[in-house]
Order: sequence, then C-alpha cells, then structure tokens
Amino acid sequence: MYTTHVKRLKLAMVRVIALPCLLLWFPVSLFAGEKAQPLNFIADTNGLSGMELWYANLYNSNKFYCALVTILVIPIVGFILGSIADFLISKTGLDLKSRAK
Amino acid sequence: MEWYYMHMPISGVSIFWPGLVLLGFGVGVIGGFFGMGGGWLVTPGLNILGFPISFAIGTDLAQMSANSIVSTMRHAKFGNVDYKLGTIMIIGTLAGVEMGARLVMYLEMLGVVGSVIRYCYMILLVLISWTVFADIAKQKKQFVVGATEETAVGIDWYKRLHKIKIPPMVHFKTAGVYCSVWLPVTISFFIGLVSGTLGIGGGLIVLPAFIYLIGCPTHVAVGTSLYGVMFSGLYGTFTYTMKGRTELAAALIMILGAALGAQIGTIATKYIKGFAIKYAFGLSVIGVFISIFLKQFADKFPGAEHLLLDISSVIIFGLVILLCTYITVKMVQGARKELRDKKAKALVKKA
Repeated sequence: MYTTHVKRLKLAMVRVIALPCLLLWFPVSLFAGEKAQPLNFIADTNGLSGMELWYANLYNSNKFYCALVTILVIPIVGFILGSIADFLISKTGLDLKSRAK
Repeated sequence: MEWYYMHMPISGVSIFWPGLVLLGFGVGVIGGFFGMGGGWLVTPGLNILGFPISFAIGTDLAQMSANSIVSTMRHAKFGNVDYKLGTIMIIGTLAGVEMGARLVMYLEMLGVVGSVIRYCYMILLVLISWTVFADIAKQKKQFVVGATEETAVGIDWYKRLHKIKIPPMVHFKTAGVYCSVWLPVTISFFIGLVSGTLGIGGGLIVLPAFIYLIGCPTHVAVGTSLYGVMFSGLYGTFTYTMKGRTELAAALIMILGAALGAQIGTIATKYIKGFAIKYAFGLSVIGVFISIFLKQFADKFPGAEHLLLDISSVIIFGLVILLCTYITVKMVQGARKELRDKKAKALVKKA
C-alpha cells in the first residue's frame, strides 16, 4: 500500500517538475542570444530632494539597505492606509465580521 | 514636463501618475475580490504605462504586498484565512520565488526576458482559463440530473491528491482539509517559481491551486491566498530591490488607490457568489491573454504595430474598468440591501 503511494507520488512529482521546466526552457532555447553581463541601473538624483534624494542615494550606494527600507516602508504604508480605509468603511454600518447575507 | 507626468529616478522613465492611482485602485478591487495581488494585471499594465518589464515586475511585487495586507486584514475579520495552510504554503513559495527571480536575471542577461515572460504568461493563462471553464461545464452538466449550484461537484483533482498519505499528515480546520503536508509544500514551490518568474504574487495560480488541488472552499481559498501573497510579495520585493529593479515611488502611488479598492473588492465577496466569480475570473484571464498576445506579436506586423499595441492597452485597462465597475456595483447593491434589511429588522423589533 505504502509502496504504491510512493510510486504514485514519484510519478506525480516527475510530471509536476517536468511541465514547468518545459514551459520555461523551451522558449529560452528559441530566443537565446549571446551571453551578456547583468544590467546595472544608477538612480538619477538630478532635481531630487528630501526623502526621494535620500532613497535614490541609498539605492546607488547600498542595495541591501535599500531593500530592507523598501520592505519596511511597504507594509507600514499598506497597514496605515488600510486601517484608514477600514475605519471609513466601518462607518457605513455594514456587518464586516460575517459572510452571511 | 506636464504635471501629470512624474519622473521615476531609478528606472529613468516619466510615468503618467494618475494612471498608477487608477491601476492601483483597480487592482485593489480585483485583488481583494479574487484573492490575489493582481500582478497579472499590474505587470502588463505598468509595462504599458512605460516601465521596462523587469521594473514592472519589481514594482508590481512591492505594491501587491501592501495591497494583500489591506485585503488580508479584511478577510481575517470574515474568518476566511486558514493560517496553518497559509504558513506552510509560504515556505515552499519563498524558495520558488528566489529561483524564479534568478531565472529572470539570467533571461535579462540573454536579452530575452520580455518575450520569454510573455510566452510563459500566455501558456499559463490558457491553462488557467481552460481549467475554470472546464470546471463550470462539469458542474453545469450535473444540473440536468437535479444538482444545484451548491451541490454540483466541479473539478476534483484534490480527491486523488488527498489519497497520497505521505507523513506527516495535517488537518487544516478552517479549510476543512486533511492531507499530507508535502502536498501544499510541493504545490507552493511551483507557485513560487512561476510567481518569481512572471512577477505575479501567485494569486492567479494559488486560487485555482487551492480550489482544485487542495480542495479549499472558494472563500477560504481567497483569504488564505492573500495571506500567502502578502509574504511572497514582500520577499519578491526584497529580492528584486536587491537586484535594483523596484521603483518605490510608483509602488507608493499605487497603494493610495489600492487601499480603498481592496476594501471594496473584499466586501464584495459577501454579495457575489458561485458561478459569477468563476465566470468573471475566467473571462478576465482570457482578456489578459489576448492583450499579451497582441503585444508579443505586434512587431511582426510593422504597419499595424502601433494599432495592435493600442488595442492591447485598451483591453487591459478596459478589463480593469469593467471588472471594477461590476464588482463595485454589486458591492454597493449588496450593501444597500443589507442596510435596508437591517433597518427593517430594527423597525420590527421596535414595533
């Protein structure tokens, strides 16, 4: 019984692995060109000031800290704006705690 | 430069910023309703607005993580989130996202990232729309023998997958599913791989995967999917920013619209149920497919290139407007009815 399940799982795994590999690599082989270097972007700080200038400089100097700042800013802004929208919607008097009509 | 254009310092492009707010609002409504970050609309949308494809993916992941936070907060209050299932899915998804992001960087080095991503998108969209409509057709066939929308059984691949009992087994109470822990882990790895490659938070694949491969009820699939998208989106944002491909300013502008849109979309799931959700989802997937198809092959027809690109833009934004209008109108109608009923009950009680 257990062996049958393992066999089935192996077969399912092979199918599941093979399909995305084919999907991803077939187009690559069709369009592959010559090997090139990774593209590096430099933020244009001309005309920037305040927070924008600070973030652009951080982007140019240290990608790791820039990434940390980004993933902190995004949920904080999302949470604050979401809470404001939540508060406004709750004022409508709708039942926002159950799905029943 | 006109006031309605904003210079993006990192990607170096000028963007029509009201378009970002509208795209954010639209994707908030659609994302909150279907349980996804909306990357399948945002990535091509941002690309059409003028972002290079790799920036469109990074920015899209950033806005979708914020968007899914707003929607998850609301769904959690409805009791639609299976935290255990969502947390297990995160582990596999993160590994997959990282592999996907590395693949995109490799494709960028080869200079083929745009076309390859669009081809993969098209294949994926065809598979998903086929699954959704096959599911509807299977359920409708059962109406002949007296089944109703609630009792008819659609595609149930999960039943076969639940028979694979590789330990440890786990019970997901909110979703009402008992299966091997390896099932969600394996599925989530491939969701993460596709998500990281195509720049979609995974909702487009997670929703059908939760319903057809794991066996979740639709509303739990929506809430749990958003819970997972929140983390995969944040991880995707981190890895794309490390590679220098996120435009934070654009993501923040989009969140302004998304915060309100996500509330509307999430509350609409109370009032729109059954086939309506599946039809809307399937049709929107077809719309996105047509749009990307036109964009991919526009350069093959030099005389009609601009026309085809314009049609592609019209389809994407038309789709966002149509779906938003449908969801918002249904939400407002449902809310008005609920408030009327509430008032009537209060009057009866008073009397």
